[in-house]
Amino acid sequence: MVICNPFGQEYIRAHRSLRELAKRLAETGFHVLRFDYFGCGDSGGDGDEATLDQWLRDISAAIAEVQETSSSPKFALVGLRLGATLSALLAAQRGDVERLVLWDPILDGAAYLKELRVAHEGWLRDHAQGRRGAAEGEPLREALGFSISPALASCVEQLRLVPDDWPSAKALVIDHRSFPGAQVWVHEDGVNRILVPHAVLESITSWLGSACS
Amino acid sequence: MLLRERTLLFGDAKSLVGIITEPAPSDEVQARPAVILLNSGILHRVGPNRLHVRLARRLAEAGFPVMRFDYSGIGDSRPRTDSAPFARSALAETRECMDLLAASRRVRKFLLAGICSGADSALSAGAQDDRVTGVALIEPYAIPGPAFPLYQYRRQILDPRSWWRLLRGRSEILGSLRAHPAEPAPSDPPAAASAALEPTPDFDSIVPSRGEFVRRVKGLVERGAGVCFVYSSESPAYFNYLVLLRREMRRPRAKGRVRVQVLKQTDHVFTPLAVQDVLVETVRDWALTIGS
Repeated sequence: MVICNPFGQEYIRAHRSLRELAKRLAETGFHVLRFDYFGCGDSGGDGDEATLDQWLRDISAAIAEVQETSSSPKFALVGLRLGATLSALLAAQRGDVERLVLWDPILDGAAYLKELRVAHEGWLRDHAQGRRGAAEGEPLREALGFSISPALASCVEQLRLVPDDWPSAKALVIDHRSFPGAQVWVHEDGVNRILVPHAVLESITSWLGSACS
Repeated sequence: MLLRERTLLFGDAKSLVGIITEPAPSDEVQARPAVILLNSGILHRVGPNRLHVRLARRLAEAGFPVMRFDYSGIGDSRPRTDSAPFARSALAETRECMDLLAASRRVRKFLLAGICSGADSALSAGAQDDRVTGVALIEPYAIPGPAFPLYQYRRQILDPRSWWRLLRGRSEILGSLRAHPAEPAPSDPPAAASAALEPTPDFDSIVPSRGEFVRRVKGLVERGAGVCFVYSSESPAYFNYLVLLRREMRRPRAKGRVRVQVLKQTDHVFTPLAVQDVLVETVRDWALTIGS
């Protein structure tokens, strides 16, 4: 299993939940790898050097690593938010992804950037004493504490995903609306108190357990 | 400069996870203290907005070995098996980190730094361990107290921009009073069964009383350690500094023992990237004056 992180503030807030997911999957008997994309988390590079192409290559490097560790060519990708979208893109490119878990994937990159812009502007207005974000029409270069390079923004802008394209035997799509309170990547408790979406993690673990047996 | 980063597992059960960022070996590096960056609340070792990673790399470029690790039960470190309260476990684990670096890197002096509750951890450990020659307290947690809303209200009344916003119907003048009610604000609605709160360390347990806060800072200064305060200009933490320490710190500031940096138009965790840049350079410059 390779777990693909969300981006930026969502990554920070979801860290604990994804660690817990990895632990549960490992307890079920899977080899699991969590990692940070280039320019994110503990990995090398600055945020403003990041590109989607690099992140797709990073996921492939993680796949190679888990294949070597497990001595098995079979692998699954589990992605949250932008990580889910990247997982789906890579799965379509490679064709050898055994199973796919798309947890609240970003379906429309342009809408996602717009959401980030609004959230960033709102945060500054409420917490940063008059500092303004990017003006209307100006490119978004940072959101909620994280840098967005022009290359990253233009690739995210183009992202479109139709999760129904994936056969249900091969992919599990998790929609937080079926799990009230499970939006850990935006929930304030994801940053101040330890919040773990047990029902979501249970769904993922049991589906992968039966789909990969 | 070429940097080297490694994962270290330490503590009794090797259950604490840390990443050390080190400059290429040189004589100069041997002489520098090690910097330890302490968790902000439950955020894992990359820090709020990945600031710990930026700080670690910038400081390592300046010749400091820098460790950022997760306290037990936070990030990737396993929870403790005993029932030690966070105040005790955080102190013990900070010391274990210092012991590890002392044994493996022959480091004798340490600078501790933290944002929010990390600053409280740094002050607590720094006050009790003579190996600590400097602490960077970045937005230490502060209970605002009843005088804070009045202070904020007075500042806003004196700020012409506030009146402009009032005229446009976007005033925060009255909001500043509402934002700090006498009674605790109601907590978030309880998470549904599909997402549950797990045991979270009691961060309040490491917040010193006002008297203890002053005693710890003065104790550090008196024993010759350096102290760097970094604040957001509107924060309750800065208000605490103004009320409790400004007069006391006048002389140590003049002597260069204490540095105070106040950053404007920012929030508690330094969301704007331009402010993050200033924060990182502030801590680096301070570390160089203490650690050279």
